[in-house]
Amino acid sequence: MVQPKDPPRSFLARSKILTLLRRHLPLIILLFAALVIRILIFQNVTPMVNTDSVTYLVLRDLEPVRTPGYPLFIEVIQFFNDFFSMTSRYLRLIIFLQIFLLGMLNTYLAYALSKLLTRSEGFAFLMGLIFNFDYFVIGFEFLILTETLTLTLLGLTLLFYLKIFKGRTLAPYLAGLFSVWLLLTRPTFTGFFAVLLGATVLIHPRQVVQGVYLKRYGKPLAIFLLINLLGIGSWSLRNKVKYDFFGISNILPYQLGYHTQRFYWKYKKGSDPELDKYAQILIEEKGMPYNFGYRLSTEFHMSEAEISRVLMKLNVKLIKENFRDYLNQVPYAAIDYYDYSWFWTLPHNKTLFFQIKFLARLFKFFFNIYACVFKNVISLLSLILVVPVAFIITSRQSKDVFHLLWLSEGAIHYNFLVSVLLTNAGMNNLRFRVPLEPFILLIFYSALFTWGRSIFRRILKLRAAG
Amino acid sequence: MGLPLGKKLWIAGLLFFLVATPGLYFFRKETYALNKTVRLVSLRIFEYEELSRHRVFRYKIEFQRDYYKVYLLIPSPEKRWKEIVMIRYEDAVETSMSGFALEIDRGNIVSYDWPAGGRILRPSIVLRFFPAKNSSKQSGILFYKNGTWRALKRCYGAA
Repeated sequence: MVQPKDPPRSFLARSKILTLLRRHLPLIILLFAALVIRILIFQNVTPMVNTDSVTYLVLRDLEPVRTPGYPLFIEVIQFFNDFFSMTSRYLRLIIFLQIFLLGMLNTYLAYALSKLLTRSEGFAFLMGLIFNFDYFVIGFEFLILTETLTLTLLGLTLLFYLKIFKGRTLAPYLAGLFSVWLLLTRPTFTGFFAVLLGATVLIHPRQVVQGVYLKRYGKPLAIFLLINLLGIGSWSLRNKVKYDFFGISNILPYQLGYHTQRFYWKYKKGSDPELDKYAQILIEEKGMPYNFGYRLSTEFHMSEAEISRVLMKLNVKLIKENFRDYLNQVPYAAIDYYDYSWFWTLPHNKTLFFQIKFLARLFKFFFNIYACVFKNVISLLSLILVVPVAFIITSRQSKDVFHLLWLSEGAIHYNFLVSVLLTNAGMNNLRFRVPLEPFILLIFYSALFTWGRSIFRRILKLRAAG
Repeated sequence: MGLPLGKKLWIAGLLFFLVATPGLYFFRKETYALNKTVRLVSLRIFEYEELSRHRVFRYKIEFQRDYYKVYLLIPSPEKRWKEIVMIRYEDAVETSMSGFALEIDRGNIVSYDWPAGGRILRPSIVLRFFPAKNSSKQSGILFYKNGTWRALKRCYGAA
């Protein structure tokens, strides 16, 4: 009898590759589309800097208000550029990596998280595509600001945090490292690890009380927690040694200053003569925190740490004594946070949109829809509260989806609260929402899709039964 | 080992990267220091251009053989320059244009000055940098008379 011959190895390899390609075809098409969109954008934008972006350009010049996450990303890019003499267009190189590395990664994350939420390849493909038409978010890929990196790190933190519960060995380390990088990119995320852990405990109360959860996930969750605490502690220690203040950034008093700027003249003198002296300067500077800081550094030769301590004391006293005035600012800060505008990309839009007319039409189409939704209180509340809550309730049977929804909602509302309670800076507040925007939309669209699918399936069942 | 191919490739790539980078650094140390110097000077010019635009300040950057200083114009009646920072070039990189200074006002370079060459009237000038041990390897920044400028990957000609 003739034995059948084994197929040649090259044939096996080819068929393996073909199977792999076929299995990931939607993702490959999505990434290809994202690449084409980015090539069109990249060749038509001119990199620009603004007052914030110049503070990130040189890692070693980092001011104590800044954290090293984004400067480190820039430094790594520039290190390889210096090493291999690739280009002397430094700003263009940064946006190149942001657009093609982070942008593509963000597209993948939108796809992966949608797939986790709905278990539908087609929907995940669509969500990835819609993400690429949201110019409010992808417009930040060519700005030298922290938003795009924050979105990537937030997505990666969530993804790896979820993998902890799949028993992956490396997941707690990676989730911890991405979470630390995230909080060192955007200090408002300092408490985010606690939100993640809190959400996990909150939705598994019985298992936590019975000790089952601790037995199974205690070690990886402890690793995740420890890495976060180490990350925060080590950068705070560095600041203590270098600038004599313990904390990851001294930006908070300056951010609070935007709130107290509205009622600085109500400062009540008499409790602390030294503080009163500084309060007089704050009043002379019309409550403007950076001008106040400049006066203290030039007139009193105070260090950055001392200035931020004084400013913090003044802010706390002002807020305590005028709590109603402070609370009155919060709704305005919230309105600014959920505003919808292309303010940050305006200098680029005219030239860019002229060059990419078809894409610009798509961008404008989605802009008009989202602007309508975000600028109307009822539709906004549906988008950020009603639909997500209903989705959480209807998904409680599906353990993974339920968990991911709680974590994402935790991120969305945590960022909202921190941004709104601590700053009131108009267009800056709008910018703080950017990394969370894809999550807000993702949950909304996923809810509609899941409900639509289940109604459709029921109709089919009824028809089959009838 | 029972590791899947993907993981093996990751580990091999990581090991290669960890071994190759220090090795390559040894061979490209000079080029790296030169490029880094030009890059840091360029990025700081961007920074002071933007700060001067935002704060309506006037800055002066003065380049010496192995360091440069940044000054801020104090708008008091006597109008004096106050030194705000002194930075050394990377790892024994130098410039031959000692004393070359540029002033930045409201976001633009408004004047160039070079004691050795007097007030600069040429349409453009190159601020060259080179490693102290090898002056033939040069990189620099090209400044145009109208205040625009760009970094150069390589410069040719005498330092």
